[in-house]
Amino acid sequence: MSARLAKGEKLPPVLLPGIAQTAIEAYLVASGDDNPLHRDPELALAAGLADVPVPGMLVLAHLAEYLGQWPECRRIAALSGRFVSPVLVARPIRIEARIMAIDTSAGTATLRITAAQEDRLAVLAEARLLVRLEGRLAQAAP
Amino acid sequence: MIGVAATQPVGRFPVGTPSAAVARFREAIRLGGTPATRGDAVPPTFPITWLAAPAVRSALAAALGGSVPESGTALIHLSQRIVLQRALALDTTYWLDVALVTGEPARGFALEATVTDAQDQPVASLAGRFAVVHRPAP
Repeated sequence: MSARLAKGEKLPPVLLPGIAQTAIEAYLVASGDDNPLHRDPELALAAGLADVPVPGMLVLAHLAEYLGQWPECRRIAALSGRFVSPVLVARPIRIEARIMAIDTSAGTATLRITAAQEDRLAVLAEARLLVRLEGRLAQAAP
Repeated sequence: MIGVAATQPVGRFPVGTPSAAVARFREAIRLGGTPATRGDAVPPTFPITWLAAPAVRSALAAALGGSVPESGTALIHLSQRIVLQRALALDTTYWLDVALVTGEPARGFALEATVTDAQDQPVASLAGRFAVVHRPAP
């Protein structure tokens, strides 16, 4: 995964085939999350959802993994996400990111990341990354 | 926006990054079957697991008047912020100071937490907002 290290550049998008119930279950066990909303379709329906929702933090963790695969990323220093609408089980998810700012003195880049499902924004996130700046800064646009 | 309201301390808890738990978590968040990005690193979202620890949950339930978040409470996670002053180290014990943010959201709760090391140096901070889903009457 490559993208020029320049403000406004986009990272290559990723289309996930969807997060299966078994993957949700593995995350719930690994994270200690016992929220029944992620296991019980009837409860999800009663809460007004069309299906079982994927834990928001699992989606945010996927966004972090996505950023971590960017070769310019040394480490994620900050990550925040707003769970705008539910990501539902077993439906494709599209992840995109754009570089919003670069701080050469701090060696950081700020990115806005989105996760969308069926053209609906699900997670709006922002991350501050420590990046590899050595000789890799793109020429600033005139 | 989190951080402008008053906070109510919930407690101070020892937490950690045991290799086995981190490996299990890393495996669970792999992106579409690709290898984990850094096999030796603690994922930046791993600290969320600390909020599910029984001692933290019990203290939270008590601070919230016993209504939430008892085990099995249905919650909707509205937002989450994680700031890492430095990377978390494997097999290391930290201290987690948890506080309730009073007054928001109306039908849920908000948390702030700070993570410090054994020398009481800041390592990370967390802030999250949650809404409570009430089960329909049978």
